[in-house]
Amino acid sequence: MPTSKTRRTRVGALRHALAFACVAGSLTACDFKVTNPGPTADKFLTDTLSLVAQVNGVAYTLGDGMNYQVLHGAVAARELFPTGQSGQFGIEPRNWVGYLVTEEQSTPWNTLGRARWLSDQSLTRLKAVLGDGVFAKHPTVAQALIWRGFTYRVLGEAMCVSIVDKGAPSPAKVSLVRAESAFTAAVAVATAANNATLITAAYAGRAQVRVDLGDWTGAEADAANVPAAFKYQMPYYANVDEYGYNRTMWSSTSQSFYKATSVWGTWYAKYYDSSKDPRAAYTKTALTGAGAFPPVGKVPWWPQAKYMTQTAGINLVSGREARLIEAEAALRKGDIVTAMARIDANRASAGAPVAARPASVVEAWTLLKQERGLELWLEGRRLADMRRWTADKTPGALDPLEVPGAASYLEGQDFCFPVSREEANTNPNLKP
Amino acid sequence: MTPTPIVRRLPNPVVHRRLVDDPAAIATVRGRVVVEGTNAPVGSAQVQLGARGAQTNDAGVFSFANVPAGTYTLQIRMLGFARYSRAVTVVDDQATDLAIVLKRQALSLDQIVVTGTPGAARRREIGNAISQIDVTALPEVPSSVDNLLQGKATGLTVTGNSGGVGGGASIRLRGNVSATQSNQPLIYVDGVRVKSDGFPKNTFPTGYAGNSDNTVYSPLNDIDPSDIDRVEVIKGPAATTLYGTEAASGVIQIFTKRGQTGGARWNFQTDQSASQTPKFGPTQGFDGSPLVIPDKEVNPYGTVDYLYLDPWLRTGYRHKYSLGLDGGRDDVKYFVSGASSSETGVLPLDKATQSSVRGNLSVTPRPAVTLQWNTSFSTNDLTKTPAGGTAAGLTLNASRRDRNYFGSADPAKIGRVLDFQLTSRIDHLVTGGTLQYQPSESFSTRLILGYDLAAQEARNYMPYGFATVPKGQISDGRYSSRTNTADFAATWSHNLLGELRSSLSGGAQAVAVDQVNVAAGSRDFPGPGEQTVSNGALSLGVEDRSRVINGGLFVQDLLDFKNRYFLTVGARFDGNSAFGESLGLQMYPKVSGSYVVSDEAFWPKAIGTMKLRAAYGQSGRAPGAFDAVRTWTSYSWGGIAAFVPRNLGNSLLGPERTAEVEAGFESSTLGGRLTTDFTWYKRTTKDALFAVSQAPSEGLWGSQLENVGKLQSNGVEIGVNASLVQRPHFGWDAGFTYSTNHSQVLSLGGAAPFTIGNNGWIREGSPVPDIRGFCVANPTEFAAPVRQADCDYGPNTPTHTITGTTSFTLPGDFALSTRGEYQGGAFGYSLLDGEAIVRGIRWPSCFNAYPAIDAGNLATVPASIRAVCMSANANRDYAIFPLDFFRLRDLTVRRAFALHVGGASSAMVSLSGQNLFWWKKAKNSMIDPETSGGFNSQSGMSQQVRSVGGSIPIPRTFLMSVRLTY
Repeated sequence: MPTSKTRRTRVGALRHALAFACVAGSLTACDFKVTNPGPTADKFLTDTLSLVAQVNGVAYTLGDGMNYQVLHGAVAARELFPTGQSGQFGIEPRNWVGYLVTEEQSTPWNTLGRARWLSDQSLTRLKAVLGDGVFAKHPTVAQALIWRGFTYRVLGEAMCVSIVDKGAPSPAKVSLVRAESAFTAAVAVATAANNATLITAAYAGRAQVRVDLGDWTGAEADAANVPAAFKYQMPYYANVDEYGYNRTMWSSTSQSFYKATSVWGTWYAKYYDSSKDPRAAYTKTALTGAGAFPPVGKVPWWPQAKYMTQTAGINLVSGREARLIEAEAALRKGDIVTAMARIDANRASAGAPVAARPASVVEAWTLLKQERGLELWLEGRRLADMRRWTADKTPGALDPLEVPGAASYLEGQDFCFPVSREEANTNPNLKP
Repeated sequence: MTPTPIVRRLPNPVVHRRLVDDPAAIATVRGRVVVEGTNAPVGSAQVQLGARGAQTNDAGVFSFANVPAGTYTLQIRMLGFARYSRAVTVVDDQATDLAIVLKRQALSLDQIVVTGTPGAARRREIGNAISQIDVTALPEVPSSVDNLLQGKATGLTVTGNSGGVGGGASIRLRGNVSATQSNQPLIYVDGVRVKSDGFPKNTFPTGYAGNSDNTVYSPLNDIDPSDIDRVEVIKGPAATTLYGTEAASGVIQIFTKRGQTGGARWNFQTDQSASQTPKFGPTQGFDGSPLVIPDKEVNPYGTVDYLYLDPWLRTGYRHKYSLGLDGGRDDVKYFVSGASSSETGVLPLDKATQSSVRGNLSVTPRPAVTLQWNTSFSTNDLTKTPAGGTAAGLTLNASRRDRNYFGSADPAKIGRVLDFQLTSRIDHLVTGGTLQYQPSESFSTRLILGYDLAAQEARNYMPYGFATVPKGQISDGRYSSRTNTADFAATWSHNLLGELRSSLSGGAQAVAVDQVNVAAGSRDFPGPGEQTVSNGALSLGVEDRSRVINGGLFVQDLLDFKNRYFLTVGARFDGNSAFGESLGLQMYPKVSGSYVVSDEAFWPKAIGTMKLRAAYGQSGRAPGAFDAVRTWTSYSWGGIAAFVPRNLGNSLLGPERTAEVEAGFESSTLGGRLTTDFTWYKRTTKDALFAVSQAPSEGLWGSQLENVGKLQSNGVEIGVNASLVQRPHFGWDAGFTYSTNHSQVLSLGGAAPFTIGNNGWIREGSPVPDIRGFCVANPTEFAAPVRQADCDYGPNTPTHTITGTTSFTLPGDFALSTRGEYQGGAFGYSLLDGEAIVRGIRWPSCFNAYPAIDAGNLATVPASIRAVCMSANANRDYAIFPLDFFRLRDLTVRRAFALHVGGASSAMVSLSGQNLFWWKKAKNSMIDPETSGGFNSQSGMSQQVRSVGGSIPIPRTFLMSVRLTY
């Protein structure tokens, strides 16, 4: 039988236990739900006020991806020569000698792949939020379709294969077909929205894609809608963060410290020295690039002068390219006269000297290939041109400084960028 | 056999008269405490004479004045020694002079520990391994908390990270427990949770994060080592269950000094040190042969030995002064201290000044109530040399000579990077109170409330005209971390049946961490002059805020049978704001047992003391504040907003759960002269948070944390201490620890192998993380190198760590001690080597091969050398090296003096050499394997995967310390 002392002890213990429970309860009556500010929750993206920012996100990402694709492709195509600087704003060693390999080139695939996904997503969300009627004539939709078209065009020209949403790889032309479809839709919506710039950009973009697809009739027809002075550019901005700059400019001008590329050792330097064609302008300096390119040693640093500011935009389409499309279409039909007329017009527009008259179709092709090189210099297009000309077995040789060999120090030349390691690791369709 | 203490009447007794009217208080009791055998003095021992308390000074001397006549119990306690107790009779007008000999007892089973237990527990009751570091008994003079912890416990790895001033060390307990979350253990100071991860790196808020000095400051180093009394270390979930969701990486608790009953006692200490950089360049070529430097590779400005940094390296000096005061009565005790230090590093701009104050107060207003309040504040100003992996980096440009960003090896040109100003100010306040209420012998409660504020202002300034940013650039970042701790625990002890006792405990804890990082940056100044962010033509602002709340309840019962069989069972229930909405509370169980087999009747006493123990427990690691939610980031795109994906989100996201089982024993034999501590452990992390990669073709969401993985690690920890010789005025003690850690990814849960940066991969069947990369498939062939992808180099964390200590007690009360540490088995990427070989830099480790390569005589050059010394073939991954190293951490000679000069009662003079000798396995690299750094925002102690950056090596330091006690 419990004594009064043990009863007191138990009552005391009970009292203490209750006190403990109260304190413990008060300590843990925490509300674990915390909403931290900062990142935007996904649910807010369905708001109409968020739609423009989503479309801007596509362009921002496309510009980011092009920054790498343009610069790295330029070195593989010997539009620029590597100085041996790698890493930050530099060029990697396999790229120096012409190869675009997975271990060095994941960023173009990843970033451009994100741009593609965003472009599809933004259009899906635009349709869901705006409804079919408004969607068909809304200027934001027209802009979204333009970005979608250029995203797929860049993917189709620059990548070796096409993959959509972790699917199986298919030929890069699948991206080009999607690009054509996007530009076609863009023409319709931009017309409904009465936006002349976007209409022309859509025609110009579709002309590029039709060239890649081999539809020369369609390409000529679209090119005809593009005035000679027209340009539609991927803009770059002088944000504080240097990663937002035009990378080709920033990696190779005196305003930065990287000096990763040079026009030294390229056909463009040789041509500019003899012609002073402003389309291949560069600056000769007594400096050398950072690092060293082993067969050469320290490479003379002659920075390109096409992009002189961090904010220099990169042409996505232009009227002069449209003229060259017409010239190539003519040449494919054996019409040297028309081709030269277009080339002459371009040269006059650019302030370049008149080109020598070709004595043969082969010489005309050689000239045309040079003209495309000059007109589209450092715009991320040269490798795609080499790829289709090789596939089409077109006549007209490229300069030895542009193709593998002792003159160019190119050991080989990849025309397209590979699937990234991240895609290879996560896409079940790519696993061995 | 315990020698009989000598109590003797002094031949010429000194009579101490008190100057107050207390006729009974007229005697003095004093004594000197020495170690049995060697008669070396025992400093900092706790001495209790009746209700009076005191502490021995460095000469082992204590004194009680004004003691009334009577008979008292004298007790002396000191970690590592058997408790001493005897009666002392005090006679009027006479001084009692005692010579006391303490017997070593390296294994004290009745020693009290508090970390990992609801209240205090005796060591015999604890089923898990626990390490205690008695700071007051260390033979060394620690310069920081990192330095204090280094090599002091089995399973504890402290990696220095930087030879520059202010760099924090990485602390790992039994290696990595998480593949994606911080592996830095939780740190408590006097029961208050404090920030344990590093401060943000001082770099520009956006873009390339390498524009810095590559170091990260540790909040641990805001604590003055002179203020620390002891440290307790528990290493894994088997011990840390009661700390819940965030404790899987272990817990370190620091206890600062408290006041002692008795008169005011002053301590003054000054440390004066000088540091120099040891040679650290390669001594071998990549071909393994001794390095020969051809004439054409000789640089007039610097040498390979010092990475061509010779013109800039200097002797660094540190001057530190600290003052402490403690004392009190039975009901009020105090400890106050202040310290100030200034330091210049071995790099030309490195400089640090630090000041700290502390006040610890203990009040016992009623016998059942004790209130303790501890507060410390420190402020630290740091100036750093830009030595990171950046175009504006001194190390990088000097090492590349004429192939650097200046195109010149001329120090006058390279020295322009020193215009880059990297300054930080760090303020750290830790305050907290502990209220203990023990209304009866059977019931006790404890409430801790604490607040930790760690704040940093980081300024990153490239002035107008700076080499890499001609128009200039500046940023100023303000970071703060506020941690609020509330911890309540109660224990009810009672007899259940016969000799079976129960200690039932319960409690609750809540910890809220608020982090704010606000930074502004600008560039393109209008012209020269001292600039602020306001002056740049282009500017930006960054703001990040997060709040994470973790709270939980626990219950535990400790069953004690016959004071030698102990069984503990318990569980913790936890919630965390970072969990997904669908998750709810998480439960972590624990069970442990210990058996003091040497208390059994059958145990031959001659064998000594033996405790067997085993424990099982779980704890966790929470995901980040934003990981559970699908979010987008908004960027400025030409002044308008643009959305891009940020985090995919996962509403089911929960903690990773680590279960650990460990077993071992602690023994003491040969009369306490040989002690052994052995632990085997195995831990498994389920629901491991893996950064599951998402296909770029689905939006490049990067990676999303998912609870899919399963990791495992195991190892053994052995600690042996031996007292080899114990003779009067000569003693020799030696000890070593050996710890292993082998980790493995058991399952990826269907996820693809993924990288966590710096060549660290999480891959099934491989260590956590595993260093992988390209290698040369045909290294010995005299042919073009064949590049092979995805080669396995090995783990990134050491698989075995060995420390050795030895100390001598010498005639004349001199003591000599040494400590060395070896870490082995790890691999890591060397940024300095890797970035050079892919840039065509003439690299010293290739000097042996260049003559043949330059002559085109490749027939004599094997593929392995062609791969690394011909940059068109090179790949950064070829600069992955073994990180094995040995360092003679400390060599100290010291002597204690009994003083009667200037009021001082004792002095301790120490002369130390730290890191005087080192060895590294990778003789063909530029690296110090103990340093780290990187291009991204993770550097130094914040690196998930350790890579060796452009950091200079840990310097060797010569130190003199003098401590005076008044």
